[in-house]
Amino acid sequence: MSDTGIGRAADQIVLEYKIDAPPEKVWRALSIPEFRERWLPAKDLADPAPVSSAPGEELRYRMRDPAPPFLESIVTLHLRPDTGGGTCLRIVHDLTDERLQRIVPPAANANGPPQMRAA
Amino acid sequence: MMRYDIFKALADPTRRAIFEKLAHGSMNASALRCGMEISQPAMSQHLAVLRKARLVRERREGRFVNYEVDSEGLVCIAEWLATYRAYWPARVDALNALLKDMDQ
Repeated sequence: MSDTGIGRAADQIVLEYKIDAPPEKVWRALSIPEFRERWLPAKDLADPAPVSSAPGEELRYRMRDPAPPFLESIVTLHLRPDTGGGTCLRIVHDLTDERLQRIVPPAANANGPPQMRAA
Repeated sequence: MMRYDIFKALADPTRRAIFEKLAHGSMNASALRCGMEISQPAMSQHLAVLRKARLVRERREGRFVNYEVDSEGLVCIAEWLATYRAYWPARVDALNALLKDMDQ
C-alpha cells in the first residue's frame, strides 16, 4: 500500500494503493452499499448513489465535507488487476465545489496586468 | 500556481506569525504590529503578499482597515487537501479490514 502522489493538482488528490485481494472482490466492497458503508460511510457522501459506474473498473461518488464550509467534491475509484492476483486501487479526488470555481482556475490573463514584485 | 503562492507566503516566519495572529480574530495593521519588531511599511508589504495568496483579506470600516483570514479563499482549499490526505489512508485501512472479513 503506498501513496505515490502522482499527478497532483492544486485542488486534486491522487493516491494509489496495492490491495491484497482480487479486483472482483474489491469491486463488491466498493459498489455494494452494505459493504461500502463499512469503509466509506454515507455520512461522508453527498449522495450514496454513485455518480457513474463502470462495473469492475470505475466508480464515482459525490462527496461533501462534513465540516464547514461543507465543500463538495467527486471521488473516482479506479480498479485494475495487479501482479500476483491483487488489485491496484487508484483514488482521484477532485474538489468541484462551485463556490470555488471563481478562484480555482488560476487564469493567467485574469485581473489586469501581472505583478512582478519581489516578496 | 496557487499552492506555490500559499507556500511562498507562509514560508516567511514573519508572515506566518501574522497569519497565525489573524487566525485568532481580525485586527488592524497597528494592532498586528504589537509585540513584533516590524516597521509599518514592512507590515504593509507582508499583508500584501498574504492578500495576494488569498490567505488574508481586508475589510474597511470607515477610516479603518481590518485584516482577517480569508475563509472563502485558498486557505479553505489547503484545509480541504489536508483533511482528505489524512482521510483516504484511514478509509483504505478500513477497506482492507473489510476485505479480510468478506467471503471470497
